[in-house]
Amino acid sequence: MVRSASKSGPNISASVYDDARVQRSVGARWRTGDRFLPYLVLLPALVVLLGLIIPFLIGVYWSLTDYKLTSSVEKSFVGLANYQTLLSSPGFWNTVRITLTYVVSALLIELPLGLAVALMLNRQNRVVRLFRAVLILPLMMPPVVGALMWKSMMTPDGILNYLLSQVGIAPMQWLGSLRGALPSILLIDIWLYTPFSALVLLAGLQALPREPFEAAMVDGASPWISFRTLTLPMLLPFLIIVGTFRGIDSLKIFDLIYATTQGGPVDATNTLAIQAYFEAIRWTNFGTAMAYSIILWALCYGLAFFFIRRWRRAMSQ
Amino acid sequence: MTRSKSWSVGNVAYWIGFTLFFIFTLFPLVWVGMMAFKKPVDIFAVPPKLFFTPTLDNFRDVLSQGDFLDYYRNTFIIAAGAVALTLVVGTPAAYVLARHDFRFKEDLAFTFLSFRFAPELVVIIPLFVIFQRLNLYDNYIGLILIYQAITLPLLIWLMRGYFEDVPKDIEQAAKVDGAGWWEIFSRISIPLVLPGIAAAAVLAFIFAWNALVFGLVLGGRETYPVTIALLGYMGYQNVDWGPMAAATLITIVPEFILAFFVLRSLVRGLTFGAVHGG
Repeated sequence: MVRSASKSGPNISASVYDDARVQRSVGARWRTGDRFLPYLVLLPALVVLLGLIIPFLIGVYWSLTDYKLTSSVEKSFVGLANYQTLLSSPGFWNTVRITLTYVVSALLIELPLGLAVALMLNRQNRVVRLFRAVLILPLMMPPVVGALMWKSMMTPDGILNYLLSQVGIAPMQWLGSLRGALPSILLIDIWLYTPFSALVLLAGLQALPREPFEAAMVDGASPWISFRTLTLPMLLPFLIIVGTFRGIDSLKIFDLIYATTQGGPVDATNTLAIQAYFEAIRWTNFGTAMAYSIILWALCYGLAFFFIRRWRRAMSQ
Repeated sequence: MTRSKSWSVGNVAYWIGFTLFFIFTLFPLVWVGMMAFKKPVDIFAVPPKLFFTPTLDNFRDVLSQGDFLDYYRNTFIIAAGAVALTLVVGTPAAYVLARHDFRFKEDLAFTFLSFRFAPELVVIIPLFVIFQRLNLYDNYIGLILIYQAITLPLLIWLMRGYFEDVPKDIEQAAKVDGAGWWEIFSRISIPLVLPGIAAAAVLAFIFAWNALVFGLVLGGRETYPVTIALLGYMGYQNVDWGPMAAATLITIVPEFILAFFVLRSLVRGLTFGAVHGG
């Protein structure tokens, strides 16, 4: 079942403890502390949360300074200068283009493919059950491991080129070529994460009510019609969830690229996160690095906002 | 579903598609799994060898040379520490978010969740400097703290859902009987959601185990996690494929075993509680 992200509905948020009748009947045992109790219990988690928010705010400030670790001069406030420099630099826009190409390609491939796999798995037999277990494996391993596995198969005389040669295709450069690097990483991404969209959409398929489909069959609707007019619309909330997770995770893609090309060759796979990392760690340009990170953060936030609005609309229908 | 025409076009297409994706998913695992048991001659053989005399040399190399085991221990300390801290801090928080009503509740819940969707670097780059000043750099405690960004949002959102699944009547009855907040929370609610807590903890442990960038930036020689050790098998020109494959297996097989125990909660966990079942 999909649960609404916003739990503002009265039924869900009403709790035992704020039910006035109960409070009156139970008496004063923990009434005095009641109003502060939630905050008190939350305190440790809030402290940890602050430990994440404070560095973030410091980072936002850095993005407005010319902070550079190697510089002997103390950092100074430069306003939006870092952002202005980025927005007028072709290098930055190239990074944005690569990142967005990656996100759009990942979504366009992994959503339909995941749906196809989910439809294939939406049956009950032993082979299908076995395969469902196999699908979980890529999801449970570190992305770095998936990257290294494929990297070992993508060497010039590796197994992939050998298999291609068996069907008469010339060997490829894979991760080593300007044009092939990004699609190669995308292939690894598809291998690692199509199981995610397949499993979520399968859960969605299994949660569908039976009656509308039976009615459609009685009315003589073809499988394709009932798929388009019944399955897809009812699956929309699940498609949106997959879109949110996969969209944002591929926007901030780092591990996979760091383990394979580190942004190369030249800058063929240089995404926003990779660029931010190297600006910070290799060149200690913390001002520029944080400007990159904040722009990436804003993109993630925007995407999440976009999807959550669609989701609410889908849920309300 | 039973099919009367088992050789229909649709059915044949189904099994072809099924087989292709099955091979696509399984092949890399099988291939690298075999690589771990191959001698260098067999790894670089052209054409590639399906049949070979297996050897344990790669595993011996990984376990005896270098510091792979140290990295392995580091990962275990960091991931287990992070999950333990998250359980202590996050379980009561999740309960309060599920059962109490108070101002800014949803905003707070979403602030926790937002760290799942924010790029890690927005926090890590500042911490790179801050941790060095606070002596938390290359330090287990520092890493356990920052791994909360992985484990805490997951636990809070999963556990909140599990607590909400518990019928309120049970707690209400206990309250009428005069039980205090802590008594209800610890004696009634926690035991009822214990399987949920276990699944959330296992998943949080796996996600922490898989992380790279936190350790890459904030860890050092003493604390690097296993993902960095794996990257270490790639030199500038040559790669130690055999040991790398062996180290890969040692890294992921325990995860697969753990995942097997929480199979039922997997989809729920992967979607932070948004999708149940699967």
